[in-house]
Amino acid sequence: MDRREFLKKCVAYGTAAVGATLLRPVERILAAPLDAAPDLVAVMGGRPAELFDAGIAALGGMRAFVKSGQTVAIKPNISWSAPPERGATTNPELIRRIVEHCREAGAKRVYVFDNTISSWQTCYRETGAEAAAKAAGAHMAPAHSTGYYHKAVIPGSKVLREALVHELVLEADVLINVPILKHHSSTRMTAALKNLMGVVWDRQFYHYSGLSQCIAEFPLLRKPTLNVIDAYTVMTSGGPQGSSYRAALELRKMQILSADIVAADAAASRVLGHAPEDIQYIPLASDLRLGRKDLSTLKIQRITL
Amino acid sequence: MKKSIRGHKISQRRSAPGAIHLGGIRRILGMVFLLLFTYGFLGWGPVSRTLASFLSRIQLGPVFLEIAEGGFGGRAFLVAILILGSTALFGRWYCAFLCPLGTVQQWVSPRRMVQGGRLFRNSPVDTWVRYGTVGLVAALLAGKSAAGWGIAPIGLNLLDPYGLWGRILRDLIFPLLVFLNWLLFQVGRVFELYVPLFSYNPDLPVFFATLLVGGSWIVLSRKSGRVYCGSLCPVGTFLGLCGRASLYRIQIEPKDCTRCGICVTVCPTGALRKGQSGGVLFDVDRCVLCMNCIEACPNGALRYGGVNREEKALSLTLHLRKDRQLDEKPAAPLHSRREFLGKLARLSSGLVAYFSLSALGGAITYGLAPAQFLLRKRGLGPSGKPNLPSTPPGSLGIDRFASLCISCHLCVSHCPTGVLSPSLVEYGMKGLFQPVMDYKRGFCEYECTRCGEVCPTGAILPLSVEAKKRVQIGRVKFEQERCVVITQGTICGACAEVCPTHAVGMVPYRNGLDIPATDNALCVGCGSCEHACPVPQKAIFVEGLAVHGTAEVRKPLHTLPREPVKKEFPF
Repeated sequence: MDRREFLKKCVAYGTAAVGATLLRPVERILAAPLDAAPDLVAVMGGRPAELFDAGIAALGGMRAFVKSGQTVAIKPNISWSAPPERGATTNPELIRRIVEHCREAGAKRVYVFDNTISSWQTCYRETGAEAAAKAAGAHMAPAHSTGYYHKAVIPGSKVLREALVHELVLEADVLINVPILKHHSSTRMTAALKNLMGVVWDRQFYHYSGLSQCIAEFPLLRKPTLNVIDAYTVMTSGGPQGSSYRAALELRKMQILSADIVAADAAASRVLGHAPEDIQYIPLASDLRLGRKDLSTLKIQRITL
Repeated sequence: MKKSIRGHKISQRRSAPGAIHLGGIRRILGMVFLLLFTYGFLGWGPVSRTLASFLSRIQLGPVFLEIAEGGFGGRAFLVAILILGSTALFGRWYCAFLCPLGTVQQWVSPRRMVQGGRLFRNSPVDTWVRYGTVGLVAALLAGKSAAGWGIAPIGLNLLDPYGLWGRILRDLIFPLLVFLNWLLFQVGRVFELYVPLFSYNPDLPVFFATLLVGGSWIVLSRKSGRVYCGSLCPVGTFLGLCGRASLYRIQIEPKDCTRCGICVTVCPTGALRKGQSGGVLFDVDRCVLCMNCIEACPNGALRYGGVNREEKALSLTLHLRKDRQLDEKPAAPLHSRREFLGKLARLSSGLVAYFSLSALGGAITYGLAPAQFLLRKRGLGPSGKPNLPSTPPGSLGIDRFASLCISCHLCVSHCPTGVLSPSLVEYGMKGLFQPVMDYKRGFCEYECTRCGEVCPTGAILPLSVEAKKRVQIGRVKFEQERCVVITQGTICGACAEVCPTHAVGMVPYRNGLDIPATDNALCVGCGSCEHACPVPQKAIFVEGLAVHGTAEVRKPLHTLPREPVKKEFPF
């Protein structure tokens, strides 16, 4: 190969390479209507881990959300010192499977944490979250002291102007919101939006200043990368704690996955037999353009195992 | 061979070769017990709780209280027999290393005690104080045991060495550890490590009150040695009485004693003192077996061992055990009669003031109007009216709790939510520092029974989780006009959310809003609702019960079908 030929080939290959990169978005646009990931995936009929395997595959696998070398913060709802059978806390089997997927996708560090209502060590232990997270190689991060929280301004908010927010929410590359769906005595339902109350320090401010409004405004600070709503065992009354005689449970064996936190909650409200509009904070969050509450406009993939 | 011990040059040790170094054993045992104690109090997890409840149950203050409450024949009685019996044989070994306060005082004590500058020591007033304290405590315990008096053992509550050390650990040393933990946390953060922070809610009034009590006690021992052990401690004085005729004790060999007096200067309790003609007097009552004198004696004239036959005969007849050594006569009283009367007057006026304050405190506790102005902050209920304090489940009621609690704060240390916190005036002066349920700091965890598990005196009885769920320590009260649902027109329900029994639930109000409704048949008085209520002047709160009641327990509807109830997506 002489010098001229070498240069020619260099230019040719170079042009081809540059051209290919330029074409990629076009390719994506062309391919979109054919196999775009759905806005929301609902899975039914298996163990929580199996539901997640199927759901995350439908969303394009965990690599669509977690890149190699990133830190991941997982926020389950483990606010009460209750075993998984009570349906008050996120299923530990699900937490474990999510951590495993994150590790497979190459996450550098995975943290699991919650600002619990009952005493934190008991909650971490009794819900099975700590054992599950550690078995899968995640760190159980503490959240029981104001030392872990930093003041953050919530952009575009009217009521929740600023809040003390757990540093993992502010710093982690990926935030995965893993609530359990259940009845709530204050808001009628708790799922993805309400679960984020467990990353702030001063919950009393929410209650004092307008609970629904504050819940709706918090994601203005940061929307979770992915929401996974655990609807395996669903508490339909006597929530959120489920320790009183009013507690009633239904076995639903469901899971809802979406990057859209409002859409996820809208679908969840249907599971409890509500319309999305019945839950005050869902239309409020939708008005703040945090997501879409109208399920008819969404591309929903329903999977039955 | 050591060149010097506690600053004293020693020419020659004449102890027999291979003799046991008793001072060293005392130091090691003291250190071991102190470390175990500290871990039991400030550690976490079931191991620290088991350790703490074991160690605190072999402390005599709790043991005597348990006997006064539970009578003779129990486990506490056996512990008392063992300790008192061994003291009758070997002297106050308990004070040498089992008492954590004794160990710390031994460390703090100066190398040389200053003669003459000692408080109380070796004066008639001292004897009055010592035996007066023991008498008072004994009378209160006996009264409690025999007649079931609801009087707190005032002297014991404040003077018991174990309780005092527990308060110092929890209220002074723990905040220090919290600070160190915070430093460690900051360092860990640099390396992306999560060091768990200790849960600590600063309580400045209690911190400073303990600093005052504990601090003055440390200054006292720094200045004058173990003057507390020799002249104030009711447990020590009682053990001294038991060990008065002990068969093993410190002994001075007259033919080896040169009357140099070094032993007197190193004795931290004043058990050794100089007689009129320069000889050494030994008061076995006060000897805490620290072995300082044996180590310091340049001629090896002191030893710890069995008393000789003549001494034994004397000890059996309980004749004057003191002042027998070296045929020495005690020095003339240091104080004139006038001085003595003056001290006595000051002492009795102190006692009068103390009891008046107790009475005032009691009046405040039970909400007598003239006393209330003193208590704006902590003693008044959220309703603005006097509110009885709540005592932990298992204590059965305020009077019983106040009469048994020794204020060691072991339960405070192990309370996971911090709801149990030291009181200042909630129970009145007689119950100073006794723990109270402070719902501003936390709530009583429904599934937790730790306070009863660790309490060494039986002030908080151990309960099973099921039994605890039936105990009503207070009753919920809802003041509708303060509730944000009404004042702000927004949803809230912070109280109903956290109520473990559904004693607080939400019922429809208006405009689609729900408002709390209470049911005192179900209320356990845990204070979750009061703790969670976002209104500064709480709209929902607990009113304590003087005598605990019973709450109804209703079974949850936890029935789960095997198959999903619905098999289709609802959207």
